[in-house]
Formats: sequence, structure tokens, C-alpha cells
Amino acid sequence: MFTIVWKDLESRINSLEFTKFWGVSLFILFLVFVVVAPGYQRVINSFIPKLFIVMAISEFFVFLAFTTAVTMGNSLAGKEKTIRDLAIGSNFSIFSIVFGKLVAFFIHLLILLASVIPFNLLALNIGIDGDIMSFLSILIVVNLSLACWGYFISTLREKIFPIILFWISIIMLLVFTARLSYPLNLINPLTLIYYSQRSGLIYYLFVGLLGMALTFWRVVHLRRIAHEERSE
Amino acid sequence: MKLKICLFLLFLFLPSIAYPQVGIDINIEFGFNGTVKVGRWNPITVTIRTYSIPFKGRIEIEVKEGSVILENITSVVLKADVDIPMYSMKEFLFLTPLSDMRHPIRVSVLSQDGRVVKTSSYEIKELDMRLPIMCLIDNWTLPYRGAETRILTLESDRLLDKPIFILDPFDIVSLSPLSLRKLKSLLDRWIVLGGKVITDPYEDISSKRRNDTYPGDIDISPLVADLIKEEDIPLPSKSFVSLFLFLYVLVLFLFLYYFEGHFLKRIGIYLLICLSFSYLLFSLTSRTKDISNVGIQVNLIKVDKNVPYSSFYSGLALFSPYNKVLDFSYNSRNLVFWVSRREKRIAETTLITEDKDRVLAEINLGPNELGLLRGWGVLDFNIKAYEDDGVVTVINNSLYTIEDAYLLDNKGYLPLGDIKVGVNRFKKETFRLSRLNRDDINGKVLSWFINNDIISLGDKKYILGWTHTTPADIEFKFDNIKSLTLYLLEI
Repeated sequence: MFTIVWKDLESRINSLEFTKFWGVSLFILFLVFVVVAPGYQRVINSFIPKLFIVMAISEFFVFLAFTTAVTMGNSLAGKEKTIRDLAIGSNFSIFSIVFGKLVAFFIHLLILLASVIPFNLLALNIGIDGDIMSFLSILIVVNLSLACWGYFISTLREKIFPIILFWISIIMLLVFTARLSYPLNLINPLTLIYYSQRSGLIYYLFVGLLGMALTFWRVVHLRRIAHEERSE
Repeated sequence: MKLKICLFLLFLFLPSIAYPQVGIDINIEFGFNGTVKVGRWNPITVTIRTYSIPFKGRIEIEVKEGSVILENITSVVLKADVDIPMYSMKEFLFLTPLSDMRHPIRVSVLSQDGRVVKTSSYEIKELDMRLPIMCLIDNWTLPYRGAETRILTLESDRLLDKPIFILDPFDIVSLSPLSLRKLKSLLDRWIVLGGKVITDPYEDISSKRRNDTYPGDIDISPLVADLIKEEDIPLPSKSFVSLFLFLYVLVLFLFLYYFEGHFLKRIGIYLLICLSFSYLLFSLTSRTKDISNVGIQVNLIKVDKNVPYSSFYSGLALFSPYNKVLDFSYNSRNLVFWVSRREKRIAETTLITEDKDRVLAEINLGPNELGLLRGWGVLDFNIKAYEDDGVVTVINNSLYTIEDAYLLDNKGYLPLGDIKVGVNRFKKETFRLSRLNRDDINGKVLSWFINNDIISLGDKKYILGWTHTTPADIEFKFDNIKSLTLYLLEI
């Protein structure tokens, strides 16, 4: 597991593609800040009080893009081995593969979170108060649970249709269900977090556990297929 | 056996003998037997009696005015700290303007830890306005008196033996805290007597009468609400912050793109850059909320040449884009502030009685809440002016130099310069008529007063001038407030 974490982090940190991706992401956050931060526009009805919320939502989507990009395949880090590659072509245990990937993702997420702290601190000082710890806990839990599903989808890479279907359902879940009337809108995890942070985070925990179980199942399946192919 | 039972019972009753009563008695008297004189100051009295334990806490009275539909509800909380030793009684008098019958008044007594000990809501029931009402005695109620208030003394029960004196129905109600109980019994007897107030004509101190301003003929709060500029709020430069942030993104990107080394080393330097910029940006903007507010106060001091005091009117507007509380205190013997209700989204204001002379006002500002107050009162301010053979003499016995003074008459404006402390003489021939500059803030304020007929340009002659310092009776506990006082002296 340690080897997987080490190699994953090394390949991602040294990846130029990933550097470009994160540079663009930070630049987008910078543009959002410039647009909504106070200064030239009138203060009343401006975004000053909502600065933290606007920045938090922007960061949420940036990290969503990050989760998608790093878990769905190895497009951003050429040397990175996907779960599928490891399940089929390595001798690592199934536990090491799944948890190694998740731990690597978690550490990488924490490293990247450090780079958005200046935005959050500025938003805290210039906007009205925001709960930075709640925001970070939500961000970490949501991204970890989505990462579990992303890794599951990466095991189905050979079929494009399930991937498209998966992301459509994610968008449906995150956008359209929020427009339902109460209490149906609680299907939306973000709405649930808004109403009750603890309930929402538990919801995401179960979503993540389900994704992880499916990932385990797929890795076991892939390992068995690989063994059968080798034995043949 | 019987003796033992008796002793046991005696033992049980012992605490009740040793501690006859525990706790407090709270009595709230609202208006006059539950009715109030609408549109005027009314007394709300809270009497607290303690027994075997002292009481520490506070009294809160919440007064709401305005319409839910028009979204112009204002809320004022009157507060006073309570600290009563055991076996004592204390009476707290709150003079409260009650004018909106739609909202009940909530009176609460809270313990030190915020627990509600007693709370009561009172619907406003209007007192029969045909009945004349009692009067006030104490000097500290000066700003609370109404126009043409009759001031009578009601110091002793001997009053009932004196000739009958009938008050005007619109006389203001104000009560001395010391004589409140006595006054109530008098009021009861007065009602029985058919609405006549009996007093001692020899102790009539009406010669000391001062004109008052509540409900007030001059309200400057609409002017200050227009004058306050949100752009004056000192926020950190957007360009500076944006450039700094851009520098951060650029440095981080260039480092990640060009630095080649072990990935752990890269992570270490990357974290160092992130945390350094975080610290710099945080420390540069950490005081933003503390200093980000703006305020403007416009005062008018109308000097009456016949008396050694002046009518004082004030408008105060405060704004901050953040949720914060701004404080200022004032001398409640001479003046009083109350929330203006002419604008939407007026910030909730708490008036805390610190002592008999001082009230602390706390205004809860927010992104869409404008603090807007109007003040009035009477200040000791002695300045006289008269004209004789083309020479205008101004005797300034105040502590202030009045700047940019003008003589106003039907011909126009004669600039006099500054009126210094002492005797000032101006020859009218040496001054030329000038036009009023209406672009600067002084001109705007003066134009507003003229347009609203507060300064009537006609037969009357005025001397007017300015000071830019806060009057001594008001103390602001925050910065970035512009205070402007217009002195108006009729010749």
C-alpha cells in the first residue's frame, strides 16, 4: 500500500499536465475573487457578505473537477497506474490497491487544500464570517466519497457508456434534485448538508462506502479475470 | 414518642423560620394603569424587591414600530443593569415613546446568566386623550418633555389641599422616579376628581420651562440617510489584494512548472509558499472588519437669543457592510436619541442606561441594515448677536469657534469668516454678498434646511456657522464618523 501511495503521489506531483490543470484551477479561483470581491462596485447588495460562500462554492467545483480528473483514469499523470492496471498487472493485494489509491487521493487532496487557504482567509477577512472548518470537512468528505465512485468507474474504463451515465446521474443528483420541493430535495446531498450538516455527511459516508464496496467487487472481479487469462 | 414527633416537625419548619422568603418579587407597571398616551413618552416602571438573596441581572424593554408590509419595522431595546442587595427594593423607570399600537411592548427581567425571570407583553391601549395628565418634576427628564410642557411640582400630599389647576390635554407625561408612587396615588385621586390636577401654584417652576422637540418639528435623519456614502467605507484596495493574489498564483505555478527535484522537496516548498502567502494576506486584511464602517452626523443648534440655552437636533446615519455593533454614548440629561423609522431596514438599536446621566447606544449594523437615529434636546450654549448701525456684534460665550459664518438676510449671504470665542464685531459694509456653494457638504446641508423651511429666508436675519467637532455631550466609540454642526442664531 505504501508503495502505491508513494508512486501515485510522485507521479502526480511531478506531472506537468497536473501542474497546468491546477494552475488553471487556481487562476479561475483568482478570477472569481476579482469579480466578487469588494472595491469598485457599491457595497450594498454586492457580494461582500457572500464572498466566503461564493469562494467556497467555486472551490467545491474546482475540487470536484480534480476528483473526477484524478480518479477516472490516468489522463493527468502519465506514469500513474490506474486501479484497473494494478488489479490486472500487479501482485499487490486487493486491499492495498483500493486503500492505497484512496490514501494517495486523500493526501493529495490535503496538499491541494493548502493552496486555496489564501483565498479562504481573504474571503473570511473581507466577507462576513464563514465556517472554514465546516467547509473543509464537507469538502473532504464529499470528495472522498465521490473518489470511491470515481475509482469504481475507472475499473469500467473499457465501456464509455457507464461513465457518461454515471456523470449524468451525478449532475442530476447535484443540480436537478435541489429544485425539488421539501422534503424531496433532501435527496440532494448538498441540500441535506445545508439543512443538517451531520445528516448530510453521514449520507455522503454511506454513498462513499457503497462506491468503495463496488470498487472492491470490481477489483476482485478483474483480478480473477486476470488470473484466468494468465492460467489459460 | 410524641415529643420526638413534635421535635421532628419543628425541625422541618425551622428553615422556613430562618429563611422566611427566598427569591424576588417583580412588579411591572406599564403606562398609566395599562394605558398610554400615544405618540408621547410614557413611563414603564419595574420594581424589584429582593429577600434573602441579592439579585443581579438586567431589565429589557423591546419597543417595535413600523409596518411589516412596508418592511420598515424598527426595534429599540431599552436596557438597564440591575444589582440589588438582599432585603432591598429598587424602582427602575424607563421613559419610552410609544406611538405604534400594532406591536406589543415586551418587558423582561433576566438574570445574570441570561435566564428569563419574568417577561410580560403589553398591548398598547390608548389613554383617553380628553383627560389631562400629570406632569414632571425632575430636571433629568428635560429631553423627554413635550412642546409647551407645563412643569409643576408635586412634592407632597399637601398639594391636595391647594387650589385646582387644570392641565392641557396634550401635556407630556413624565414622572420623577422618586415621586412615582406618590404620583400614582395622586393620579388615582385625580381621576376621581374628574381629571383635574391639583397642585401648588406657588411652586410652579414654569419660568424654567424650555421648549422641547419631541415629537419634534425637525428631523434630520432623512438628510443624513441621503448623505451617507458607502464608498467612504475604508476597505482594502481591491487592486492591491488582487495583485497580491495574482502574484501568489503565479509564483506557485512557476515553481511547480519549472522546479525540478524530488517530489517531497517540491511538496515542502509548495506548502511553504502556500502558508507564507496565507499569513501575509491574512495579516494584511485582518483589521478590515474592525475599521470598515462609515458614519455621518449632522447637528443643528438653534440658538435662542433670549435664553442661555439652545435647541439641539441631530441626525445620525451609520453603515457597515459587515455584521458589527457600533457604540456611542450621550448625556441623557440634555439630549436623547431614538431610532428613525422613515427608512427601510433600520438597524436594531439598544439603549443601555449606564447611570442617570449617561446612555450607551448600541447599533447592530449588517450588510443591509442602516443605523439611523434622530436626536434632540437642549444644550447650554450661550451666544448672542445683535445689529446696530450696520455693525453686527456677536458675543460668543461658548467654547467653540464657529467657522465659515454667514449673515443671512433677504438680500443674500454675507460671509463673516470665523466667529471666535468672545466679542466679535463685523461691519456689514465691508462684506460683499456671495453665492452659496451648494456642492460641498456644508452647502448641501444648508440647502436641505432651506428647502425644508427649517431656515426661512424672509424677514428674519440669521447668523449661521459651522463646527466640525462632535458636541461634548456625545461620545463616539468608533472612528470614521463625520460630524457637522450648524449653528443658527436669529438676530
